[in-house]
Amino acid sequence: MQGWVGTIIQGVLLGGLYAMFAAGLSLIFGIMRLVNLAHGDLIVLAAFAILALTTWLGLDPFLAALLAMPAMFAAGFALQHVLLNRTLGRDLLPPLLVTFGLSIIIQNGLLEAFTADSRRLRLGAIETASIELGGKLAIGVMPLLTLVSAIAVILLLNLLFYRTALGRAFRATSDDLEIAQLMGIDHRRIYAIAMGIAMVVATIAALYLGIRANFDPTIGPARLIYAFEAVIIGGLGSLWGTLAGGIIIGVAQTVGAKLNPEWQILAGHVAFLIVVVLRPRGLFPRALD
Amino acid sequence: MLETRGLTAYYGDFQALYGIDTVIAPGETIAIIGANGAGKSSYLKAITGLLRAGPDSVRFEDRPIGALGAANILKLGIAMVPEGRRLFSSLTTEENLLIGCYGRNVPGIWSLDSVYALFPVLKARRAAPSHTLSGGEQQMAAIGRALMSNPRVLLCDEISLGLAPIMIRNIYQAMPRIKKNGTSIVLVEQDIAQAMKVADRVYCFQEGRVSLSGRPAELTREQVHLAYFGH
Repeated sequence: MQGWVGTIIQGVLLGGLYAMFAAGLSLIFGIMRLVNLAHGDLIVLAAFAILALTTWLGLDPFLAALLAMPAMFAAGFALQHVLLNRTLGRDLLPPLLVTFGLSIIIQNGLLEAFTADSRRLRLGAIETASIELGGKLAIGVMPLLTLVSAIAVILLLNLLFYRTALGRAFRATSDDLEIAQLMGIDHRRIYAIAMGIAMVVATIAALYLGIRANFDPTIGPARLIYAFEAVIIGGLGSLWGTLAGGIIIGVAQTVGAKLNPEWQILAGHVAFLIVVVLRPRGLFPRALD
Repeated sequence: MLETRGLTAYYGDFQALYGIDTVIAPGETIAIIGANGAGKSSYLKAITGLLRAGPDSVRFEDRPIGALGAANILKLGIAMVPEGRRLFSSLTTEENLLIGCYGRNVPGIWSLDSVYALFPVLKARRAAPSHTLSGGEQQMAAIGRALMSNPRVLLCDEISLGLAPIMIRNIYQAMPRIKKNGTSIVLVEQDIAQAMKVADRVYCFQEGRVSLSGRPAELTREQVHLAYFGH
């Protein structure tokens, strides 16, 4: 029994990581209907940026991530302004093709710069530290910190969305692009700011990805699949739904692995398919948000 | 103040406007009437930058503004109440009003308080999601949203369309209070009687051209009928 409780707790904690991968994706899709196929690679790019700062400047990974955030915001802003804004329109294909190409360019650029070696961010003892819950149950400090960070990120994004003028502009642009322009909203700038924010979230995701697991330049797309599934399970455009989606996939994976170690990945995908069959619009579609 | 000269507009290959000349003086209310497809809405879209216009074909205070985008046109003080209200559905009533001054936040007589004084029902429904408002309330919110930018020119596209007569009267009762502050108003209407009542001057459009213009009192029924229907 306790084994199962532990398994589910591990799954929930893992879900925090997936939710963080997915939050940026959900944000971008919600505001500009852009499916960013390079999102996973951008997270890996952020992980290498943190790695570079820790190795070259000898910084702690958390401090390095803090320094990387403004740089990633600027990179996201520029990427959207210079490239992705030009691809947006009625046709859904151009942004898919361009972000797919971007994914390949980032992977190859990282291969050139950092080789194909598997890397990891080092944090010392805290990596393996755990908190005893009693009754043989213990949870890792890092997984707990990941989930807490995911909740904090989503809470902050929701505050931004629902309590600020910028958030109103995000929602208005998403509702009706033409009328938003009549309100004096420069949608290209709004999109660029949104991509910048998504990249800041990606940097936080990269920090936990890099501390908890090995990464190399090619792992982006595999991580992207979980993010997509979390977004779709939660309902497109709903950030709390994305967190729920991440947790569902995380729990399915740990439960699957408990039953049979070979079933871990499969169980996550099966859970995704079941939700899509039962609730095609996801658990929390935006209309009910 | 606001002027169009030989204004043309296209939807792809389809030409909607064939050289429209209009002049709107400060504080003046003009009505644009005409049948469906006469080019009334295209005219407003071309002024607001939603449709491409020649750089010099729209002038505001003697500056060419035809090449500016919609967001920059608003910043000059030209606000629009779009056809069909088009409130932002995921925003509350109050948020819809607040977003009205996102791009142009200048001091003036219009603020949340004065818009609520103009349309008290909006205050009662300030926290309601905008899609739960009635048609008339939505129209009031759409007008309030445009007023929040303290515009110098207010463009209204079919504000009586689909509303009950009593609602139309309520909304038109607000017009004198909007005018009082020197705001110019352009009303696009299919409801000729309503438009003639409030307008200082009328332009009638037919197939993308101005078929008649003048002061309502000086135009005969026959003239308007001919200019409206073309036969």
